[in-house]
Amino acid sequence: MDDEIRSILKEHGRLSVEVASLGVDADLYRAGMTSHASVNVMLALEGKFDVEFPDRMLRRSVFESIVSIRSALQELTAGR
Amino acid sequence: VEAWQLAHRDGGAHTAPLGLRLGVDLVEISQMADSQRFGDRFLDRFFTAGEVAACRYHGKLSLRRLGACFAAKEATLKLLDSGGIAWSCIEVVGHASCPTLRLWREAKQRAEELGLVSFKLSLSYQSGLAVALVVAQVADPNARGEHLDG
Repeated sequence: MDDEIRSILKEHGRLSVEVASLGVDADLYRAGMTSHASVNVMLALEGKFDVEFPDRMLRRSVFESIVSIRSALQELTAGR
Repeated sequence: VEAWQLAHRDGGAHTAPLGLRLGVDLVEISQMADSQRFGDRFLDRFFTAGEVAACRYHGKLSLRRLGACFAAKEATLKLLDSGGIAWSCIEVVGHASCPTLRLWREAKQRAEELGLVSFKLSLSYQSGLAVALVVAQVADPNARGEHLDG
């Protein structure tokens, strides 16, 4: 799952550093991701994982790191 | 960020501290175009029907107006100093020349916690960029006994 998240971050995150160099708990906003880029990341994740982030997850904190994104996706795909 | 200034009250008979909080955000219009690749999902998830209608010009969606609307939501989140508030809890109402803010659910709750009143919003766009500035007044910072460093 982390590889797919990193791939989407590379395409849509507009990061100022190489995605591969980031730890799973690195702050993506500090790595250059704008809030609007995080929106595009979220929409791309929905397409990739066939999930829909509920309104309660549509907030900056959910997309602030790879581990927080992974946690949200695992919650959304639990039971499949 | 919080600015402190002296404001005259009671016709200038004396001065009292007035707390202000502000938030600002800048959006590249080209990023709004990127989002359009995801179709209506983008509009449906982050904007109200009223916001989308206000961003249409002669029936066509204005990306710079949409960018300004998104910047307003982000500027308000910065003002509220919270990444745990959904974008949909912040609504831009009215025309771009005279916009106002409407807060819902946790955004409204957070504003009440901070004692914020009288929000003012200003939007602008030019040369591929949209900017939003939000200012809110703290109702009575002395009574709250709280000082927030910017």
